[in-house]
Amino acid sequence: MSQQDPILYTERLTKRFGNIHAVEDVDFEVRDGEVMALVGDNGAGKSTLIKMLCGVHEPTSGEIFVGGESVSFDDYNDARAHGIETVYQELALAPNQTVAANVFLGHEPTRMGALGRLLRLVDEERMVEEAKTNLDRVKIPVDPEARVKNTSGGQQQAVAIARALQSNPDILIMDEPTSALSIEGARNVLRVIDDLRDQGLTIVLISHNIRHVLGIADRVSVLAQGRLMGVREADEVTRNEIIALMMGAEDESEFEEFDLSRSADSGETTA
Amino acid sequence: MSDERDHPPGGSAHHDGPETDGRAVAADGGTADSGDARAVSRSGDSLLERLISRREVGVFFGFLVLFGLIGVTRPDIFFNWGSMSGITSRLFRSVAPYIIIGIGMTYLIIGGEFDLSVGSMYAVGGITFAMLLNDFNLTVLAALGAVLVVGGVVGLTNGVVVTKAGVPSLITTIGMMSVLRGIAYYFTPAGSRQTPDLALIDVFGGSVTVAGLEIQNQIFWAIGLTIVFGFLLQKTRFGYHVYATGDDQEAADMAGIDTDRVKIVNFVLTAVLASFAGVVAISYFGSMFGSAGIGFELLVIAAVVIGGTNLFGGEGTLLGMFLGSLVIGVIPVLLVLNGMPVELQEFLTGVVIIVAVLLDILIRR
Repeated sequence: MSQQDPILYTERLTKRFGNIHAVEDVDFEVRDGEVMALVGDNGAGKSTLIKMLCGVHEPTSGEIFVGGESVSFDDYNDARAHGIETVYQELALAPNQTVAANVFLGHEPTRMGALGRLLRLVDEERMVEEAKTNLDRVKIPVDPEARVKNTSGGQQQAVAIARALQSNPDILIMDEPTSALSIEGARNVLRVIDDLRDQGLTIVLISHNIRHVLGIADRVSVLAQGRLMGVREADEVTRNEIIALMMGAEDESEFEEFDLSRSADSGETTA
Repeated sequence: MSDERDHPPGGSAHHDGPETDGRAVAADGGTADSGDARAVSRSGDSLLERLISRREVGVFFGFLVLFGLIGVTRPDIFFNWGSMSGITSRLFRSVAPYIIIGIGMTYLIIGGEFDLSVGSMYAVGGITFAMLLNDFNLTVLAALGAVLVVGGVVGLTNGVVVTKAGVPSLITTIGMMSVLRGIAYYFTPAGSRQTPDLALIDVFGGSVTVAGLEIQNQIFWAIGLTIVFGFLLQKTRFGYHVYATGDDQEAADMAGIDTDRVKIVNFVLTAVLASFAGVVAISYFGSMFGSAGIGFELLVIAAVVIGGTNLFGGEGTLLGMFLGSLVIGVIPVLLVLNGMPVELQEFLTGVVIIVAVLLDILIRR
């Protein structure tokens, strides 16, 4: 596939919870090999949109296409089978288990030999070795034998990413990967995203932090009140234009008379 | 967990894990271009430090202290092998059912559930075993098999009601405790049931004597089952999934683990082992009352928690439970030998259980 082909797109995707229109008629599109950022204020529908893409929510109407074919997901295993992996904001790690066990959670390698297969004995050496390989790909140093609760926020993010890479996905959805991190930790995670794109992965990055987004993404999709307000090339768009879109403006000129530097700052501190 | 992420490097300092010190090195400060995971050193964790930080070691010393108190308070008995061997034998015998049931309970609690019906299951197991041998003339093996199947059905019921219907295990298993106790009383119209004289029963109820110390076969069963199930818990994928399920069920679910199935298997295992403990007990005593096993659930859960299993799931070992059972077993021995009245024993056992669980929770903070 060329850079311009959409590997994932939606048509008029809609999700309603009762009377609440969480996502309304969204045509979201991600090209093969790009980092697509998805931004929007709280309640804009970012989480609902990605939960439909990773199989947690069933759309009320509309369609999802992966690699050109229409798909429907019953759960995250379905999405996973179509090459979509998600790193959730809450990371979904088991804190008292080791880093290696978390990387392989639910897919622990078993030993060869009759007894190993019969009892499904976990091959701990292989698990630690392969976890190391996966963590090396993420390039944030973590001891595979440490317990997750004794690692830092950035390291936990690395563990969650390493686990997502375990199934060799085509598309990696990352929900607010930098929001809970220190400046250093956030910088490391952004570097990981850059590396993964170089390795050919397509990434959907959900973030509040417009500075992070513009620094790393190829394109930016902006949601407001459940609707897709616009899609911009990251190197052609300004922070103010994105903020204007996030606030629901059809046209940036509506906001030109305001000094947006203050709201831009506040947008970052919440992230 | 989220609050730990907010303060990455310092936040882990209060954890008592042996790895904590080494870890701080690699916290977010780890430089971008050093892709070497081994930068995280484990030095500073000497073998001794790691040993001391293991809960099992602490529990073992706790047991030794309590056992030693017998020597301090009753040296006349403690230093007389004739009486001491009898006391030791009784101690091991009395903890065997706690350990056998505790195996299942440890799996359950690590996986984030518990079962309060084990004491009643123990009675139903033993009484049904005697009934099948006497009234239905089954062979020992057939009767044992039938009892274990009954246990399996009870465990399956507990597990399905808890996981699929969403009734909390507190309610489900208290209800099952009452149901099974009713059955135990119904099957013992004369108050108790006796096992017939069959040689094969001695496999469970017999004993061997070594150097004047009579060791009941029960304790061998308890040790053997602990080793087998301890191995399975530590080494198999199922064991890994038990830990993950109790640690963070949502995370385990998202990773593709069928956490309902894990919990159901744990409920089945617990009830089967509780009914087996009943078989072992009636084989030893020769008879069992309808009231047998009342209060076992609390003693077993206490043994599991004293042994270092996190009451809220995700952590624990069978070795810890085994040693915790010894602690639970030695307390009444110590009290009896010092002439404490029965009411005070019951009272103090309750206090010890609450204090032990309280300490466990405080240590984890």
